[in-house]
Amino acid sequence: MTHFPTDLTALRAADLNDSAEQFGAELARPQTRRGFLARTGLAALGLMVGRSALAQTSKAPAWAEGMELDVNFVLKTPAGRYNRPYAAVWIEDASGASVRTLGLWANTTPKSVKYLNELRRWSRGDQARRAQGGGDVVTTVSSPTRVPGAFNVVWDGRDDRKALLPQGNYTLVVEAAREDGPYGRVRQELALGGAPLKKTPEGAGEITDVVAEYRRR
Amino acid sequence: MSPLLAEAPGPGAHFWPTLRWPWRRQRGGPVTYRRHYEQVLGTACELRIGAGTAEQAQAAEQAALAEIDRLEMVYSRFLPDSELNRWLRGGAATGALCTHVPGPDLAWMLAVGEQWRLATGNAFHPGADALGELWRAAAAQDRVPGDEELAPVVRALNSEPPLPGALNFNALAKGRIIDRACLEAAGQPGVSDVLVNIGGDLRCTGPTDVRVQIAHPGTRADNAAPEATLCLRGLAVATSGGTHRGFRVAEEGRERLYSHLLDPRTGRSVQHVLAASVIAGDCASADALATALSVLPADEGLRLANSFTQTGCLIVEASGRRRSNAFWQAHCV
Repeated sequence: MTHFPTDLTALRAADLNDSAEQFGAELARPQTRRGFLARTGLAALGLMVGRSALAQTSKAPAWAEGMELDVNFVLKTPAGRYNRPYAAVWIEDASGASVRTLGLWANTTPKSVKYLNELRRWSRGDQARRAQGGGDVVTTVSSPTRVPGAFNVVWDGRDDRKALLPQGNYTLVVEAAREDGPYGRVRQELALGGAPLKKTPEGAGEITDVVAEYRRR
Repeated sequence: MSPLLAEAPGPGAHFWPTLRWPWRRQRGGPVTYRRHYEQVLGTACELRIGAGTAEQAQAAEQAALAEIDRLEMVYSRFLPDSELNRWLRGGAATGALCTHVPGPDLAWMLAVGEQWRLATGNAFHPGADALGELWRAAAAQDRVPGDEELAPVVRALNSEPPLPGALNFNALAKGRIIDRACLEAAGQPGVSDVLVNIGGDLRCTGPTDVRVQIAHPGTRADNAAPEATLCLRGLAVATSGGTHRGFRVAEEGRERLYSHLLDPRTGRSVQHVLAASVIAGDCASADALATALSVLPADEGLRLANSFTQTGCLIVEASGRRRSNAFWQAHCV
């Protein structure tokens, strides 16, 4: 590539597609409005190309076939009848963005939805998600008699839009809160690759007996 | 009071009237209350009440909870002073002359339990808890009870009439409590619709459609995709299966979970059915039928369900085969 335009009027559309090498040469030129626009355009283009190239080269291997993350936890059960705290379980990626909500136990009627904010971290991630559309409506469930206070969710490696995520470092977060009551959040970093692993992070607040097991389905 | 000042809703937490926009007041209209409790009858409970005002919804909720508490004191086998336990101690369990006269709720249960036992050919059996005790004792020693242990109990259960013994109306009692709590709440002024779900058995009343997901059998995961979704109005659903409870026995180094559902006719843990769900007009019937269907061979179960009108069923066999009848399919979404 040896083509260096000598004056700005000679800068054609095709030149914009040229490499960053040419962009470097442009920098030495005197400042004009057209020149500035052309350079900015080139810079943006360069960034876009560079970013997608980078994303492609640093792509982690796909989610290991047949693996899943099994999460068990208990919300402490006092004696006698009691209101279930609000709870959420979700997965964050290495950058801290929430990628998948695994479970949400809360009232979602308009009057009580405000208390969802008590699940501080989950609701912050949820606002970002909601901007992309879609909350969920909880229906009632018929099942064999369940054990009070014990919860189990499974993560299949897919994000909220059902796209399979790559292997890598993820963080499991369990959060539980009450209206004017105790608050607890458990975080566990997990390096999810090809090998099974099992973690038992310390409980917090009303959350106890957290067991995260990455295992074969 | 100025139209801008209105009493705050909610359980008396606010002393000061709150400032509200007048047009918000006019929108008022019916409210839907949802409450989730843990440790109700040893499991989880969901209440959903639609009413004209928040106060009416709360009154209905209290009525439902009070009825649950009252009936738990009648039917529970866990509470030593429940009426059922006092009745059994009074001589009913040994066949002696009983000194305790059952009240109307217990009398209802004894009569209806016997009806279901006869209708299901002992697949639903109020005396089946005697088997459960043998299984619990054996599982504690990491073994499965042998035929010689089970045989005398199975004989006692299957003689006609069954020999006296401890009775436990678990399934039927839970269904009955759900029915009574639901009707009690629905009878309160201003209440339009009610849903009571205790541990996965539920009943709804009122003119609203309720979406009911049937939990996928064979997984405990709360976020698993449902087996089926129903759309119901004024009906009850009960599901029976071995997902959450059972007898853990270590065999050849591997732990094996035997379903807590025992066949009263053989004493064996049920293996051929993973789960059975039933739609019926009331939850007590749905519960008793679901228990029977998870014990009977699928063909017999389907025939039994079809012998009742307005009754739907889904039987998931261990082979993965799904069997359902027309009433069930008509309510699937």
